[in-house]
Amino acid sequence: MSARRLLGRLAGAALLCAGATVDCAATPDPGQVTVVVTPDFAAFAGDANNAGVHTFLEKRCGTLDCHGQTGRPFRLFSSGGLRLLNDAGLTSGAGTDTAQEIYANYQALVGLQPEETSRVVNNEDPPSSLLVVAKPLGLQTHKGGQALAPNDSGDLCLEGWLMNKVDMAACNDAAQEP
Amino acid sequence: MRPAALARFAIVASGLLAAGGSCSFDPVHQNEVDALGGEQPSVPQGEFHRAGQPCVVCHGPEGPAKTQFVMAGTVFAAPDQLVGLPQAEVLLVDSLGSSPPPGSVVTNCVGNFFITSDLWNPAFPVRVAVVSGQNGEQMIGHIGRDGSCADCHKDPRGLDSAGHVFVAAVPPKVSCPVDNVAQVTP
Repeated sequence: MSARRLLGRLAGAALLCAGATVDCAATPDPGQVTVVVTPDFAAFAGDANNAGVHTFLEKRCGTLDCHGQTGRPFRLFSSGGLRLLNDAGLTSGAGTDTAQEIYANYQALVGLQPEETSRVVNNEDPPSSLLVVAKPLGLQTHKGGQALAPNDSGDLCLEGWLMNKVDMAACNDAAQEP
Repeated sequence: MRPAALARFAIVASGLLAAGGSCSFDPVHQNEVDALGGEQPSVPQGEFHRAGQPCVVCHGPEGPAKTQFVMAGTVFAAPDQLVGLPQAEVLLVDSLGSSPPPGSVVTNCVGNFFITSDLWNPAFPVRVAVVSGQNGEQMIGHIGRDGSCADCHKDPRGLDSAGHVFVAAVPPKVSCPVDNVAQVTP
């Protein structure tokens, strides 16, 4: 290769790198955000008459030896498992769930795959595209094995809620200890 | 491969195999084993040792103990004392409705109990209760998959632990070759 041709190639590469650097170093655009469409928090939390989605998730998945552990992305707080730091002196096995714990569980669930959750809530993708559904159903590897059977009350509760068609009777049934 | 290189390879391989026989290659598991500390001089290795510790750390598939347990732990006689509770029966039922044979899982004189896979091989999750005479306790939730009670039931009680397993009862007087007060804090 002649020296002139080599120089030309080097110059071209340098220009490309400079262009890429300028592009990467551009000022962040605060208007460029990813909108996340979230499932209904009120249905997740339940009320005096309904267990909501959180109760069954905590009982079925949130034991201290499974998702009741701080290191897990899908980390669940509950009165019978891991407690959120609190000033009331609440320890594992004492008292009831706090509102902060329920909201933290909601955030953990939605925050696992926020964009895919949006697509499921918008009925663009099926709930089984989410890890939180696929893993307990055994559609993907799950260290805790198959924790839900297709169309059992837990599955109906979780999938219905994700598709904005919550079946509270199923949620209440799933919240009962077997 | 030349003979000299082959010999060197064989020496390295045999060294690695020997090391594998004596300790775990998994540093996380090895750290868990190391964290349990050494044996108490007054308690020989066996069914009475390490009361209150997470048994399946060593008595699991990764060893180093030779005997494997599917589930094991210690039952104490009070929430604020580490006195082992003998002759308490541990009642278990798994997700398929299977249980160990009645009367087969009973604590020994330091409160320890253990289940080997030839006695019972549970399909998790498992519900559990402990009965001592007229007294008993049932666990609020279920056991998800951990065979060691003390992994979750450790002292002190806190955000991630309900404290050690206990049934409030007067321990029956039984002869015991070792002290039934736990030598370590679970």
